[in-house]
Amino acid sequence: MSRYLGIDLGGSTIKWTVLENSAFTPVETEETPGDKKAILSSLSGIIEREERLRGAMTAVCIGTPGLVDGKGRIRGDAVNLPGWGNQSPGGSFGTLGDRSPIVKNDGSLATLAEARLGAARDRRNVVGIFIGTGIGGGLIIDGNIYEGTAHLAGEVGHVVVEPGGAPCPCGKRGCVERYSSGTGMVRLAQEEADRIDSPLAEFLRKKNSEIIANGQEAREFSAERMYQDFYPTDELARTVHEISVDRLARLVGALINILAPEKLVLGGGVMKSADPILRSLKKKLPQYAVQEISKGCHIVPASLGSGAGAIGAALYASSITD
Amino acid sequence: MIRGNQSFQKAANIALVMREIRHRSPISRTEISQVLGLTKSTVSTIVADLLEVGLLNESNLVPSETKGGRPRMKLELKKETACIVGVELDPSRYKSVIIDIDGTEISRSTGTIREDRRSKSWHPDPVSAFDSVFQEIRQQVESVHLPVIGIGVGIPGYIEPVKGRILRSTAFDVENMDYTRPLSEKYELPILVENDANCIAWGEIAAEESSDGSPEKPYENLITVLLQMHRDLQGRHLQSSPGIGCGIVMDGMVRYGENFAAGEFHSYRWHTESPGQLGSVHGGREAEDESRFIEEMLEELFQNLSLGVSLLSPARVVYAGDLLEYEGQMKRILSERMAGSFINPEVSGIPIDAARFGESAVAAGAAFMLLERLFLLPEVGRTRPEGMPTWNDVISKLRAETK
Repeated sequence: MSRYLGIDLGGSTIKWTVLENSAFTPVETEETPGDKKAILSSLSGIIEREERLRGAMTAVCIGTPGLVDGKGRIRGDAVNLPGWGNQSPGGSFGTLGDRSPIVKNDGSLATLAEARLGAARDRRNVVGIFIGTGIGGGLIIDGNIYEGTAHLAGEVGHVVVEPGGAPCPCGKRGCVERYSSGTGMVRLAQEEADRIDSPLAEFLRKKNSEIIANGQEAREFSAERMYQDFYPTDELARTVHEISVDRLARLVGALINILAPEKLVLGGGVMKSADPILRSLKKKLPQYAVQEISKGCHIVPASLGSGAGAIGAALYASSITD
Repeated sequence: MIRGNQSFQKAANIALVMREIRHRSPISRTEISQVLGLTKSTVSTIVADLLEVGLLNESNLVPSETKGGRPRMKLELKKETACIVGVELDPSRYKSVIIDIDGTEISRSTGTIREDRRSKSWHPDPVSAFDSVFQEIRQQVESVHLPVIGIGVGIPGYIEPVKGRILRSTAFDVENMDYTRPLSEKYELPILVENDANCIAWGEIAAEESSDGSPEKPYENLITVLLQMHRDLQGRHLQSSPGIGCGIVMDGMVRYGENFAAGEFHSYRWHTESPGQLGSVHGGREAEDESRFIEEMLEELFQNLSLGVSLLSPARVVYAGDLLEYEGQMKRILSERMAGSFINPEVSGIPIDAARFGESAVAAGAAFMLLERLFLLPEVGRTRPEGMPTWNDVISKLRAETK
């Protein structure tokens, strides 16, 4: 009996599912611990529990944010997993118990899941962009994950869309993540609040005063909240939305022009506010994508939700070991 | 030109045998049979046909390893049996390259499209342009005294190579043109058409086929960039903006995407007033502006290209066309101003090289497009161009030539 465990290791949660007899178990979730040792212990625990419950796993695949090379090493520091960079050969996770897991980029795995079972089901050439705290993505070419020569293809978050723009923790300036991710939008709102007076600007100024007074972070503000409570009536929210969608459109336009995919799937936490983002993106796109190509590419919201990474990990494990 | 299952199987088997001989020559019939899992009699029958028409050489190179056995006859592709012509068509000029079936370049030439084939608006009709070129390359072909398997044509624009259509070519000012079928019928030769930047990609893939089997795969994933200034014979710009195209090779295959549109270049600095594909370069390019124009154009080109490099993680970027003329400026801009635009050291350190056939990269690539497709297993699918010959067709043609 073949059995595959797919795990999605995110900055705040670990999600997993088991693929057995062409069916997935419901995606389970637990909180991501704070340090590397505790994360490894959590991962070992998940593998052990699932094997005790269902039997030995044929293969285990872990999806992780950041650049993952052909040997399963996380290159540089993943934004959500600080301190994991450039681990020893054999994978960033080494051996978990008696398992040597396959390690892949989480965006590639989520795109694989959407291409096989989700919003781009049965499409063979698909691009995925997932907008959350950061921006991840993946390329599916001829039905399989395309990794390129350095195994870094599809790392869409750090594509420079504004040369000389906002500095990024990756070392470059103007990465799309600095404008169009959840953290990018919060950053933009903080910056633009000095220039634009609006209820959102007022809210942020109040929060900033609290930060200064209490030394705490303004946890209450996020891109999701901006869309929920301020957009579209608030001028600052509209400005942030405009800039963020424009930079996203540059990325999407480049992807469409280069690859002419059948479908482009947009997912991730920020895309819970998919309607205004998708609407504005489609309006902006003619500026950045060639019309003949973009009319052949359908831009659709992801359909598998937050479990896509785990489902994709299990699918990938099965596809390379079957 | 595949009809029926039996014919398809035969064509597939010949292609398999030819591929083995191409990659492993000198090789014996027995070795081919072992590697491919075909019966010895099937291999012998195919090899007999190929020897009869002169596509292979047979020589007694290696003594048999079995005691007392007959020496094994080794097979290899025979040079100078047949040739393939590649043509790059531009509105004002053409380049052509003739290659042997083993990929050796036999000759190359360049010339202009005859004045009477050009309209008042400088846009020539691409069919008339080909007619004009054909008369000249006919002489080039006659001088090499080899039968022609087919002609590959590289053209700027959206090209649908499977149906041989020009979907849109700004340089030639045509749309939805059924291109290769009437030409093939007129000249009674297989004629295929391909986008010019994709032709360069085919030429680079062919380099991989002829490489020494090193584990490095420099040609497996790459981006080709072709920049054409479209000047007339006096050096004047024919268009207000250069033409830029890219070819994408992923896992050793030229990628077409939906509607054969992959590899399109469209700057993110483009705006509705932009005359072409770039956004920063404005019209009115007088001679004194030329240097500044080139500088701006190159910077914008590589800013955009960095997106493609980041997204696709290729092993190399290959450039051709008028970029060959600006190599010095290009490399200076890349080293001085582009640092930090690529995603990380692994990707930013990739080589950016001139195409292997230099200024004839499109013409040579057009010929290799046909040659490489000949060596691919025949497939009934959307990527097989109409009129694409198989080795069966080549054998028939060579038989007819010798009668």
